[in-house]
Amino acid sequence: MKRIAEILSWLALAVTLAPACLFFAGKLDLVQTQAWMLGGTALWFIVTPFWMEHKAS
Amino acid sequence: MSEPQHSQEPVEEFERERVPERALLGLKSYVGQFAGEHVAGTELMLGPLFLAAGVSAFDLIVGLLVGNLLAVLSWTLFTAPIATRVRLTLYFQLEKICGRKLVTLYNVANGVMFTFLAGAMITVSATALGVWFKFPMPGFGDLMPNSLGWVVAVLITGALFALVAAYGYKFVAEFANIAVPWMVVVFIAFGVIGLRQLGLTSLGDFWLVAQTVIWKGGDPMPGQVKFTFWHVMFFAWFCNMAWHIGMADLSLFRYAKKPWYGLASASGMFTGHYMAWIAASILYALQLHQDPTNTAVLPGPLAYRACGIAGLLCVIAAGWTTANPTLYRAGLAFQSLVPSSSRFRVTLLTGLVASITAVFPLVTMRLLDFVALWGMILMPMGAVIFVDFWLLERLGLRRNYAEATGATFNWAAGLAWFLTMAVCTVLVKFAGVQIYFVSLPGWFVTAILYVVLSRFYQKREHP
Repeated sequence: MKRIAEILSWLALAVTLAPACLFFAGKLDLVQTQAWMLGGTALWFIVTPFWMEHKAS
Repeated sequence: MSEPQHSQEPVEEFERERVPERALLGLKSYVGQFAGEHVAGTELMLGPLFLAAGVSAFDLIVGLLVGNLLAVLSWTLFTAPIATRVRLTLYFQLEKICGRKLVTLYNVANGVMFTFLAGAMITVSATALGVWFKFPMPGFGDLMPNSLGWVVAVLITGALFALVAAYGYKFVAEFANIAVPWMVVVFIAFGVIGLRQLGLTSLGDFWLVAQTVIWKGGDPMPGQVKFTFWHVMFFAWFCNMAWHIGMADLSLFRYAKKPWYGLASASGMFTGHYMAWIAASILYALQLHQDPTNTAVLPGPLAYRACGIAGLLCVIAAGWTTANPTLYRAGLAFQSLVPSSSRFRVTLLTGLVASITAVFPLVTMRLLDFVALWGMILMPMGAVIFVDFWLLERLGLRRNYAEATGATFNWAAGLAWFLTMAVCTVLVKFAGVQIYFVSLPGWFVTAILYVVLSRFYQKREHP
C-alpha cells in the first residue's frame, strides 16, 4: 500500500510539473496547464501522507 | 537512511547538555531540513525586489551563485566545526560565554526580528486572499494599508496563523514536511511558465531574453537602491547571516555526525535562494512586461497569473508553513523573559503583534533592508562565539567566561555587541556604507573588540 502511495506521489509531482513544460513547448494552453497542476496538487496531498515520514522538526 | 526516533523533536532535547553519540543525525536529515526551511513565502517577495532594484541578468545569476556558495561555506567552515565540537545549543553556548542576562537580551532581539519576519510571511499569504476577494492591496513602496479589506484579510490570516502556532505547531510542522517537495515543483513551474509567457520558446535563447526582457538592468524603481553584482552577492551571502556566521545554527548542527554536513545547506540555498528567487523574479518581470504601470509586488496575484489555484495554494502554504515555526520561535524567545508564563499565551500575543505589523507593508516592501539589518544585529554574537572558541585561550584569556566565573552579564561580550552595532550604524548613516555590506567589517570590529575588552574585563574582574 505504501509503495503504491509513493508511486502515486511521484506521479503527482510529475502531473504538477509536466504541464508547465508542455506549456513551455506550446502543447498546452494556460488554462489546461493550471487545471492539470491543480489535479497534481490534489493528488500529492491526498497520497503523500500515507508514506512520507512527516515528523515535526 | 531514515531519521531515528529522537530526531522527532530535537529542539526540545539536550537543551542543557552535550548531544550524545546515539542522537547524532546523518547527512540526509540536513539536506531535507535545509531544503524545507529555505523555500519560504518571503522568497516570493525577494525575487521581485531584486528586479525593482534594477539588477542586470549577469549580476543576478552570477551574484546569487557566488553569494549562495559563500553562505554554504560559512555554514561549513564557521558554524558546523564549532557545533560538532561543543554539541550545545546556541543559547547554552552563549550562556556559558555571556551569562544569563546577556543571553536574555539576545533572545529579545531575536524574538523581535522573528516577529517582524512572521509579519512579512502573513502579508505574503494575505495577498493570496486578495485574489479571491478582490479587495485593493498595497502598491509598490506603500507603507500604509490602503483598504479595509486588506486590513481584515491580514488580521484574519495572522490570527489563524497565531492560533495554529500556539495550538498546533506540530501539525503544521508535519504538513510543512509533506508540502516542501510540492512547493519546490510549483516554484519551478512559476519560472517555466513565466519564461514562456515572456516570449522564450527555446532554452538556447534564455540568456538573450534574460538580458533584454527580464533583468534589463538600468535604474531602480523610485525609493530603491540600485543593485550591482556586489549587492546581490553580499545579500545572498548575508541574508541568513544570523544563522551561519551569527551561529544560530549551532543548535541545528550539534546533531551532525561530521562538520562537513554544513555543505547540506546547499540544498536550501540553491532551491530557495537561487531557483525560487529567480522564478519569483521572472513572475514579476512578466507582470511588468504585460503592464508596465503595475509595479505592485503581490505574491498572490503573481502566482495566480502563472499557475492558477495551485499557485495561490503555494503562496498560502509557503507563508503558513514558515510563519508557523517563526511565530513559535519568537514566542519561545519572549517566554524566556518570564519562564513561568504560558507559551500558548505568549505565542498568541506574538502572533497578534506580528499581524499588526503585517497590516503595514513596511517590512515586506523593505524586506531586502530588513533581512540585512537582522544579520547586522545578530552577527556580533556569532563573532563572539567564534573568537571565544578558537582564539581566547591562545591569547591567554579564559574561554566560557560566564560559566567559569558565575557572571550573569559578560560586559566584554555585551560591549562588543553594542559597540559593533553603534559602529555599523554610524557607517551606514554617516559614512555612506550600505547596509548590505556593513556586516563584513562589523564582524571584524566585534572580534577585535571582544579580544581587547576581554583582556581588560577578565583582568579587572578576576586578575
